[in-house]
Amino acid sequence: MKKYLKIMWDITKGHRGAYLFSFVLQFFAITFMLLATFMTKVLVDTIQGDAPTGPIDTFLTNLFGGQAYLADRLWIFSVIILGLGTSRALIFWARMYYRGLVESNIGREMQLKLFSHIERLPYPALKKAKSGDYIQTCTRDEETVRSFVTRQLFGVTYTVIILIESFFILWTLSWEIALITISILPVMFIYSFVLIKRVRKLYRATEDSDGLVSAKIEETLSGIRLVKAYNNENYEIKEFDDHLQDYRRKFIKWRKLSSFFFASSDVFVFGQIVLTTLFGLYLALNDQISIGTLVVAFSFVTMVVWPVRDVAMTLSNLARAIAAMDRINVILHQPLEDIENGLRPDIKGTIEISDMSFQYDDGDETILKNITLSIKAGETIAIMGKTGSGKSTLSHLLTRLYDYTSGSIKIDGYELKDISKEHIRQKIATVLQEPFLFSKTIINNLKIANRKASMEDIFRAAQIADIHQNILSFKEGYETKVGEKGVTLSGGQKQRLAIARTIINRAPILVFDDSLSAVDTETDIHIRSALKSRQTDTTTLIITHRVATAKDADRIVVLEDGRISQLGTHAQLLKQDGLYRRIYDIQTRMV
Amino acid sequence: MASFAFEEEQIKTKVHFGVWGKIIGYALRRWYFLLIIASFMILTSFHDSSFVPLLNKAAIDAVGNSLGVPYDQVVIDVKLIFGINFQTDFWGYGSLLLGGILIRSISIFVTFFVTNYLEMSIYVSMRQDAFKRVQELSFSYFDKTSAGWLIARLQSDTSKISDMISWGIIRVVWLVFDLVLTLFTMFAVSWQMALILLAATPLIMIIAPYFEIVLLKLSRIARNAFSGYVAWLAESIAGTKTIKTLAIENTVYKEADDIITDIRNKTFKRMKFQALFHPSVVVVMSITTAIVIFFGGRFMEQNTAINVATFALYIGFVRAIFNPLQEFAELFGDIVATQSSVEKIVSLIETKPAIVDRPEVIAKYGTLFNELRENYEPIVGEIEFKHVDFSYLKGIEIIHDMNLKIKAGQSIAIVGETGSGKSTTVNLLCRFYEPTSGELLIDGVDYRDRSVAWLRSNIGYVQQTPFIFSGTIRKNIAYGKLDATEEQIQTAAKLVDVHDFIMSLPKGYDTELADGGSELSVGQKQLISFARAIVRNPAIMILDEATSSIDTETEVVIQKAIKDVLKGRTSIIIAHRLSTIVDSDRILVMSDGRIIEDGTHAELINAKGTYHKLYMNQFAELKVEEQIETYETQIAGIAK
Repeated sequence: MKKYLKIMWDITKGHRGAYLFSFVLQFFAITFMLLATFMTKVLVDTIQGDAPTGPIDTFLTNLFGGQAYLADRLWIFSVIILGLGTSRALIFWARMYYRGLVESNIGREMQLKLFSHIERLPYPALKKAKSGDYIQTCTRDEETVRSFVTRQLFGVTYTVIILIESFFILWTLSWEIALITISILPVMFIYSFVLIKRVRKLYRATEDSDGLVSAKIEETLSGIRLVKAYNNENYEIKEFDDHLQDYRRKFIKWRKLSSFFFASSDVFVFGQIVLTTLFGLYLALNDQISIGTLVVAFSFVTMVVWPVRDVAMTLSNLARAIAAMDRINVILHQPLEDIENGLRPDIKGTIEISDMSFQYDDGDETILKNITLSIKAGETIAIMGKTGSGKSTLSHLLTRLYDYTSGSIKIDGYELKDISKEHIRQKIATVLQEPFLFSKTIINNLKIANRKASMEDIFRAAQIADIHQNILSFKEGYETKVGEKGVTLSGGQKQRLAIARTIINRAPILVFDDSLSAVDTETDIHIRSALKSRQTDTTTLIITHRVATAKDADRIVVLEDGRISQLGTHAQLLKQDGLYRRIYDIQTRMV
Repeated sequence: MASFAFEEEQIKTKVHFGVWGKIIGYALRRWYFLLIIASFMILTSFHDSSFVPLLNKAAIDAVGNSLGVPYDQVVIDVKLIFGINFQTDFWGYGSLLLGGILIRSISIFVTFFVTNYLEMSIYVSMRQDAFKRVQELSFSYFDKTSAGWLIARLQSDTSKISDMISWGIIRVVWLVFDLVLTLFTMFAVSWQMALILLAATPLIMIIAPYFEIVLLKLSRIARNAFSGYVAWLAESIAGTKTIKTLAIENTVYKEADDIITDIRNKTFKRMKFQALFHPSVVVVMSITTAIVIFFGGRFMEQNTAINVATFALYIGFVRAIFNPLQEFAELFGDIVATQSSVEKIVSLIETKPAIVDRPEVIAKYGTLFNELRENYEPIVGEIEFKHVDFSYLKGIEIIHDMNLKIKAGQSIAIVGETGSGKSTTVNLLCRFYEPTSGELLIDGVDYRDRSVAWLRSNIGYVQQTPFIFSGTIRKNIAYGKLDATEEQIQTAAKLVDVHDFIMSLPKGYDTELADGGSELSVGQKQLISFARAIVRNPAIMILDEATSSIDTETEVVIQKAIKDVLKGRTSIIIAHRLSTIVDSDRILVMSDGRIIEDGTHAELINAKGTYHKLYMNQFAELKVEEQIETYETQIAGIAK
């Protein structure tokens, strides 16, 4: 429990003043509300000529000129009620305002904290996780916790304050009526708390069944072609109906109990009210309390009983908030990827790989085995190999998405693992095999790589990637939206945009991770030569399965089963008997 | 900042009663529920709005009139509405109150209980209607409407509406009863006081709806911003690798900050406005109470009929009048909020399917839901397109004057670029669409002269992405023939070579597949799809890009399965991957809705036309190992 209180306390960090202040405002709002109601008693006593019996009514009566004075001027009560009402309205407004302020600010901070944490998780952790879970935590769990801290908790304090205050006020008039007014409440609280828990259990069963209905809907709609092609419309309707009937049964079962809960706890609620009325009537007839006290006791009990039942319902739902807090905690306690720390050397582009091996943390197969390769700054290296030979892993290692297991990779003489990840990712620009574009305009997709890039730089990059003309042909040019709500780009266009995005920053090392394959051969040649002429000293690694792409490289590396099986220029490799020549033979004969 | 300007839904504030009429019809069909609800509700309202306040008044009167009388000898004068007046003692009074509680609780229980039944039956029948309509609709509808849209209609709209309708009716009835009974009681006791109390109510009737509507708008704005964030978040998580390799965490974080701050501002704007609502009501209520006290005091000086009990009663009535009025405004807001759901669901239920059999066809062959299988003619499997034209939209023709004759048992492959019309050809054949002009003959008869169900019962169809229904493997195969015997199911599985795999699972054919069969590989899923098609023993087999999503290794297995599956059937394969089709009897190359080449693989390769080009382009995109394999199996032998 302590742990969760601490979590909640931490959530309010930075807004504690406003948060605590809204509790103070709540206290005054309740006090004014009770006072306004209490004035009815003073009014009734004044009309009846019953002398004040407690310190509070005595004080109030005397404050406004004494009973005899007030009896002739009942309009004063109108003024007092109006005054109290207006003050209460003002306080209430301030309280709601502060709550809104605190709630929206807390919400913003929790969202940001969660997002920035998720964003900085290491790549392997992110790859493993289910993105749906993250989204769930960032949305529903966050809302559950926030609403508990900024809403339900106020419901609890509301009940506690109103209960204590009204008990205290009644006590000053008659301790008997005060005690009788709260007599059934504990029983009602426990009864509601226990029963609503069982209602919730049935509710969850109903929700699960509803989930099945939804799953059925989704399934049928995504498989609609099959449903129709196989004539199974009738069958689907019947299956759907079975799910619906199951849901209906569970729903009715749940609601039966919840109807019973409301009806039966109403017995307590009204029972408490009736008990107060009857006992108050008895006391009033015995002349132990005035009519005014009877009236105020009746009003107070009505104001107290409902919130008590609500709080029982809130607290029985605590488990949900706790589960949400747990899930949030799990995310916030995962170690982050440190991208800032490390060396930030100036990089020319030499890569020195020696005896390097790599194996996934949870895998038992070595993906790359004893790789040794040195690449001079400005050199272009093509890497070929079959699927699973480890060629893409090599690009993952260079950008430190994964770190190599043994051996060493040196960039300009610095051990790769010592260089800041952020720095190395800026220096080793990678175009991924699967181009990923964000649902925003083309210009924003390009600019995301460098906020400060000038339009000239962007156009130049787009020209090199051979996509500039395509973009201009869209109606809205660079302002065209990409994705679901915008234009649909072909695979090649997407890839060229991704290339343009990557080359906006003139990184000293450029890696194409099988990313030129989606563009046709001519565009491929155009992109490479345009790039070469812009930055002659860039080290370029091209992972490809196209001989036409590989043959222009300074050297070609052939990877087989995680090892370098061949290394040399196009001419050299053609003289060797091996994978490269075989592919070359086939590909040249085909065109 | 402009990068996250999410679209904001237009908010309608006018209520169209026309569409609501259709929906309310669902509730009126259960008039007996409504009747029970109303009759019990009136008891609750009577208890709360009239019985208890008047009993309280009676008690206060009694105290005022019986100074010095012992409590068990007091006479309490009870004056209820409708002229029910009687006298009782202390214990009788107590019993009345307790009896009231009991009756009220019972009527609350009955009301809630019956409302649940009402809600459920509205929910179930609305969903059934919508679901059935979805099953009847033709493909043209699904092309225009995304699955996501339909899912939202069937899921959230139906439950939103049934909740709104059933509880909305309860609320209306309850509020009306409460209000009417309060007013009635008020006027019965003292019409002057009643009029005074009502003086301020027009104010609340203006304020409350105004607040509700503005709040609704502000909430929608905030909610739209939030759902925009959820979409953005999903995308950012999906694009992790790109974000990391570009090292743009800070930029993305900045964007998150912008979006989240925007949500915060919109939320706060709503809350700020909301904060004004309740206080304004409190002020109006205080004004009313002040007026009641002011005039009540005056009346009391002049009129003996109004005493302190009446006074207290009317102070209580202020709340009794204001709460229902406030809730009416809330209800109005809810109705407005549900309006668009209602419009959408009504439009869905009222959509007419585009492809329906002619009455005389239905008379002979029955409908989808009631097939007259005994009248079905056996099929041979001969297909003929005769001058078939087709356009999805008027004026944009997709298929031009297609003439094609396929002999029974022949295997046909169709290739061509995206948009060349190959999928449309298959859609026409399956009668997902009908030709705009010309005719399509099956065994020499226009297929519109037979029923849709007849045609489809003779077609085996496998689509691009293997689709697995949740349930057992057996159920998934039997989906092709609902009454298939165990033997037929196993035979089908054996034919496509997946039987041994299934038997290797601990539960064999009873293995439950969840989540679209995520525990199976794509290849295994596709083999099950083949088995599903085969178990129908169809005369016509259609593979609609059935091999596109499969990796090379699996393809070898599938390739073999395809050969077995097609044996002795008329078949049409659409394939992106050309390796799938090299063995077909005929390959058709389509371009712009026309067949431009027709021949065997070897013929077309050697013709060096479009097919040759398509084939070579595709070859270049193959992975290294695939190129070797493909070259050896498909090209080396035939190329001249």
